Amino acid sequence: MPSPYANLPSRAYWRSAVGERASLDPGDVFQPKFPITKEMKVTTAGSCFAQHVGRALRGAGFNVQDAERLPPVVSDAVATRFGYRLYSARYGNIYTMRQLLQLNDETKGTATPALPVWEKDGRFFDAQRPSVEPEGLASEADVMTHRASHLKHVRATFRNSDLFVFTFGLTEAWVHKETGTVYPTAPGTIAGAFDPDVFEFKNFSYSEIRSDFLTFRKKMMAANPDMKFLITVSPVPLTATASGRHVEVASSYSKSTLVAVCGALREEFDNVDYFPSYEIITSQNARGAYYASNKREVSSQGVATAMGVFLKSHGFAPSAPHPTERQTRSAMVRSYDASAGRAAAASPSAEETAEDVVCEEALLDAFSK
Amino acid sequence: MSRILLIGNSHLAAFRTGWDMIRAANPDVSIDFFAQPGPEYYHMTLNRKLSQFGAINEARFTLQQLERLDKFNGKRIVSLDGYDRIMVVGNQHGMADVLKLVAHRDVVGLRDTGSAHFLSRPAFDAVVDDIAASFMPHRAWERFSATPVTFHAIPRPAETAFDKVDRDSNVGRTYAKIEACADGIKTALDQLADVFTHHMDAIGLRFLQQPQDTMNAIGFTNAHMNTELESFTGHSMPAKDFQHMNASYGAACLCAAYPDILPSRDAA
Repeated sequence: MPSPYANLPSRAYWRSAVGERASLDPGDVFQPKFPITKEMKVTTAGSCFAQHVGRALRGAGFNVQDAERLPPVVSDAVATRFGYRLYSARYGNIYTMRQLLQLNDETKGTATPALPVWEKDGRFFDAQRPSVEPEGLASEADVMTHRASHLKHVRATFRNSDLFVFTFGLTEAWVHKETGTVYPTAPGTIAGAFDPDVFEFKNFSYSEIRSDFLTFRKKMMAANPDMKFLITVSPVPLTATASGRHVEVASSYSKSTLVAVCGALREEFDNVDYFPSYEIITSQNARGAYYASNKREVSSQGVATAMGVFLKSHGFAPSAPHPTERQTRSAMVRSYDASAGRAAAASPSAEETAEDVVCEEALLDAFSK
Repeated sequence: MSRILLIGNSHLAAFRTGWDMIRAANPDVSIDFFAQPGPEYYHMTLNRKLSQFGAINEARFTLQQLERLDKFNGKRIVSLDGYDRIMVVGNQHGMADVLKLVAHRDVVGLRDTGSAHFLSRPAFDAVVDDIAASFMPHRAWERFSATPVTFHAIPRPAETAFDKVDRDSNVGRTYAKIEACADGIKTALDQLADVFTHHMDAIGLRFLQQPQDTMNAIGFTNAHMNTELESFTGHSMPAKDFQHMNASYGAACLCAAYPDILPSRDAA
């Protein structure tokens, strides 16, 4: 009887699969569990890296839902500044599984976040998505009106999904002590004020994250038993940690926990697939080339490589995005030598595209000593 | 004698016929017109160095289009030298986009129709600014100083639009929403024009809106200015047209523009 390692494919051996692989060749790292078609209604959510995932899927012609859309004439720069076109609804970044679960419960009226409105300089912010109105709103009532409308769209989007794409971002979060309400940012970062008697730090464990996902999956499948889940882990390290550990160690712990949860979920459920974007970006084979100069943000090359692997594995070729209505119009008007200086800005460079993500977690960097 | 050059697209016809109405009362003013109706207008370019405007790059035009230029103007390129003022007529600044935006979305504090979609006021302000910025003239016009240049807005849709528009078209659906509730429409269009004016000021260009007394309460052009429409060649325009205006509109715009395009007369 030969060794069980005798007849494995070359991707099973480190030497052939990694050590001898050409530098920056991502290799054969992903074998999809189930096919993804362009007819499927795709919902995207997650940490800021998930914006790249959604953009790549949209660019490749997938049916990525956009429940709170702006007309195509509005530039991406303005739309994303107000939380549009980032995800399938205007919920901003969702860094933890607990927050996603909480959002889903809120859409059904079975959860009500504590302290839903945060104030700063006389303007009011939605504590669950403080970055979508960067200037805040005029009153608490305005925030709640906007939120009620938002929740209707989220509910409809979630229920209509065939494929739910979620990128796990962090294990660390800030929660309301009394109720357990989790927030996407620490109070006092964008708005609100931090009160240690009211809020506390929470580092979600493997079992808590797994349990939250299982609950979320069960609730989503109650609406659509055929729903599929594509999960990924953001390769973007923590900007800052409140764990007391070195940020690099805390980041490794956080990402390792998330990867472990995802790996287990993939093994356990037929309708859950894991796409190894984290592994592609952090691979020794890449030698850090997929990170920007701050060693944290993912470069355009990294995003293109990871999403190229995903699309190719599902039998699709990455395609150049079609010009938007705005770009087409601008090009026409520009040629009338009487217009549209802005048209040049409509085609950002690849590097700009990669960095053009809205990531409030990065705001923590402002507190760096 | 003040020499003025008006250049523009199909909307220039209202100004030309309007000028015919008021020319006799303005013997000290001479106006020349240089028009290219149709989409090819947007292929015309400004040669800043030579102070010329028109079909400078003829490769952008078909032979038929060039022949039309010849027919309308007797030339394909107009020199901007020798004029006291230039006015570019029919300049788009994003009205159709803003109308579409607010027709299908409410704006907090501006428009409340019970729509499922609405924008915050800060988001609306940013979007309007963004739309206006996307219609800015080419850099070649920036601080063009050889001759003072004023851009005149494209006319707002006529109030006859609700009767004339094809209800089954996308545009028709937009107008149906506006007809059902006109709240905030005038404010939105005024805001767009003000923002565009501000952007133009920043690059040394004047932008004129049509006079307030040519509009009704919702900010559309009065119906009587959308009758008996003539094209630049004197032909009747389609009866369903609610985007172009007549001679009385052109005359009203010219009279209102005098302080801007005839500053010396205004001072007098």
